[in-house]
Amino acid sequence: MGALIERKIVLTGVVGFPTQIYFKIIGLLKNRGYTVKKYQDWIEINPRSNLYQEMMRKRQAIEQNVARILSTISDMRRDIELIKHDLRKFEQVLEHFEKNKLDTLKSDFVDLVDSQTPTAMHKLVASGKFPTLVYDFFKIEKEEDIDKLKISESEKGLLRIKWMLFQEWMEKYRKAVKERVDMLREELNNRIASLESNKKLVEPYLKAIYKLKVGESKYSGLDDPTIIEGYNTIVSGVELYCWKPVSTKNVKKGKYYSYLDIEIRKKTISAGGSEKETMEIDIKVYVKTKKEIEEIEESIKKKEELMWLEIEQFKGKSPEEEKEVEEKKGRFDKIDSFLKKILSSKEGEPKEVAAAVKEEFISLYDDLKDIIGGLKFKRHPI
Amino acid sequence: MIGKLLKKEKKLPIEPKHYKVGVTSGIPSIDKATAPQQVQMVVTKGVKVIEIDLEFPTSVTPIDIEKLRSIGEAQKLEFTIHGATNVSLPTTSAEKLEYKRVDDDMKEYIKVAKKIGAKAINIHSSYLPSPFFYRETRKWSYLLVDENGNPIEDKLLRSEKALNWFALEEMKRHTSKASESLLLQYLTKKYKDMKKAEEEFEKLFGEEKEKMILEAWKDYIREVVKKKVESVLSMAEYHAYIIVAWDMYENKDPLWKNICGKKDPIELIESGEEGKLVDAVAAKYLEGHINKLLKDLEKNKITLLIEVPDCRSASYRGHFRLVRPKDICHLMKKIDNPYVRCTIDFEHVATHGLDVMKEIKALGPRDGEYVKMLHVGSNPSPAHLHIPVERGDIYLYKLMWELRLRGFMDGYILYEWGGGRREEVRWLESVQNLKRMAIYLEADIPPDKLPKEFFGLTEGEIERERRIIERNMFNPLQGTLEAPELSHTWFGGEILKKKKPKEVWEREEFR
Repeated sequence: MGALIERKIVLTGVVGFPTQIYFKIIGLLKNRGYTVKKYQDWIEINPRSNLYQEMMRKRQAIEQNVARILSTISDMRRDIELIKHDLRKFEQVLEHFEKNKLDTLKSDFVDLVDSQTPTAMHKLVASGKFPTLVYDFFKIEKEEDIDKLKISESEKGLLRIKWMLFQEWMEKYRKAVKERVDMLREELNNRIASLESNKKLVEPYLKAIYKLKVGESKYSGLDDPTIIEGYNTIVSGVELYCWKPVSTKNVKKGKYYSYLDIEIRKKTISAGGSEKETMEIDIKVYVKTKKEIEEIEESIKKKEELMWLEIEQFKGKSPEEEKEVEEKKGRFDKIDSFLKKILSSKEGEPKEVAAAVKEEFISLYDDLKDIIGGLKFKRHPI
Repeated sequence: MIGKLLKKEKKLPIEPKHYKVGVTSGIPSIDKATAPQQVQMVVTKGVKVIEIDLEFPTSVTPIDIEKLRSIGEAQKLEFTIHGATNVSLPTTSAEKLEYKRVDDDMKEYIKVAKKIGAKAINIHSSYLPSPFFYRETRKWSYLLVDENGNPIEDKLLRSEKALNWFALEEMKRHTSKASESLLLQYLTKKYKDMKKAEEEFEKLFGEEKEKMILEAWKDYIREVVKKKVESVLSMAEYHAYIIVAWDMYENKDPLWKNICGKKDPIELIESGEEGKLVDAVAAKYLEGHINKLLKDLEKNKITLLIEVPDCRSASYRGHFRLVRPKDICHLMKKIDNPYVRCTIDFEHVATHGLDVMKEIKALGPRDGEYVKMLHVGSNPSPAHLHIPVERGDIYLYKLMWELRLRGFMDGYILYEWGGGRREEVRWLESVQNLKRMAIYLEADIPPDKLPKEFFGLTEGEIERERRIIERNMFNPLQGTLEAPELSHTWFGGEILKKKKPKEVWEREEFR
């Protein structure tokens, strides 16, 4: 349980100096064969400072851009749905022609087209003047059928006219429908392409918003009495997970890992016309198995994916995916607690592995001292 | 399943081949219109056969006739005539003047039919109640005729049984003193000696005397008839009917045999079956009229149709002349001429309080061959309503099916509306329903095997309903969504942007 070793390093210097040290530490870790992953980073700004106002303005500007693009996406999506709706209807009509569904076409003609004429068939039926007219119209499949009907010449004459108009309408209607189907298909493709383009366009803004989340302070640095409200005070932090395989005489390389949880916090204090930086580095050392390392890697990957999922949510997700997005927050929490569990767990690793990890860390610690140079670290007992 | 049935219906022809579905023009006086106007009104009812309702042969003027002919030719219609639609032709009357009017009107109807180009004339078998209702309405005997229009007295003298019955009737009607006086007169004539006659008269008593009185009455009747003494014999139509009945009975007339059986007229009356006597004699009078028309009918190829009459008054129900289809068919068989056939009006049968189905099933196995026309409507009832034919009217189909089983394989099936009903509710779906029934009948589909379409919608109608539903499927959600309405289209939206009213783009949706 708990870390094998814990160390805290505090550096104060002119602005930029601690930052240089930070980059050097990363370089050192990589050179020593560590895999370095940033788990999270954050920044806290005094809300009464000018810098805070500037940051918020930047965020608002990004939000406005996002809102504008998302609104465009929403319009496009609505248009696409409407176009699809139209297309579906027109394609359905086209299918009536292709499958020669004469009764269906007659229905549209009688109820939607002919009904607008002064001698609408259904009106003549309803008035009792031609009670069988629509019924007879539906009997006809070709003009010759009119002669087969046992009705008066007046009715035949009217049916012939209606049949002729029906034929003319069908010809024009088919052509118009075909043209519209072609046009709507083009329009649909165009809208879909534009939609995709806009989705891509919004991604960087969404990423930026994700990064610029306004949240509650995790760090109590702002309560530091040395930090005066109204100054452009910034507290930022980063959490790094680093690991490298270790081996001993009896343990092959790749089974156990030296694992470091490094938390770095940096304060930039602006006061009295000059600025200073203070950096605190907390290092915890653990022994981890290969399986545990893989699980940590997977968790980091999932966290990354969740960010993308949130971005996708902004861009618009299918209903199936929305559920996944809703569960996002819970999943973040789960990942965090899972990682903590991994970090706090401690298998009964061989003593020689623990000794190897301690030795590795002492060596790393010595290298750190060299980087900082001139500054004296307290040598902790191993 | 629906698909299968629809396919089955698809195979059926679009029109019946043998049955001719038609409508009647309506009674001109009810609509205050001329016959051509009435016909013109029904030209567009989806039929090729129109029965022209005429109240009298004179209902059509020469101009009307010309117009009707023109309409028929131009519209390629088949006309039939319904004579005396207002029920004014006393076809079974024994009264001389009425009898003559029937003869005259029938000849005129044939002339009119010929001029118009009508192929058939339909008349009711009768419009009168039983003469037993009017036995006390007396006329001079010379005003009554037999089935051939001859004085009824001639038939009376030719039939000993009729004379015997009539003498008895007269005897009962007069006082015994009058009969005794007539007997003395008869004996004086017989012995040519007054004294001898008085002696013989005194000797007579009991049955012998009654017998001689009857002889005296018979002699008196013969003498009056021979001398054509107009003011002596007094009769009602009732007497004429029984005289003809005796004649039929004696001559073994097939009409008598088929309608009345073996009983003589008095036996029938005494057993309370005088209705049969009336039906048989009414048929005989009708036969008399028709026989005079046969040559004209054959020459002009016009079919005379005798229709089951409607009951003119509820008080006559059960006492009307010649109303049963079976009896009319007996007359058709007796006349046995292809130009004489009958019309069955189910509504009319019902007006007499008869069970229509029972009456149709009572027809002989081949009686349907004598049926050439049906007047139909839905729900036949004593109220004489002529209701438009309803879709899926299985009862009507069963009636026609029973007739088809009995040989009714072709002929006219007419929706008769009579007159008066508003135009928009007058026809409804009568014609199309009748045509469908006729098609199913011709396909020999029994009532219990009729497809569901018979009771419901046709293929075309189903498709039309489907399309309307498709167009309106989201109506229940209309106005409940914040998002664009589901009926809104992209095209619609474009039009909305151009600030056209919603109705405009809705109309243009499918264009």
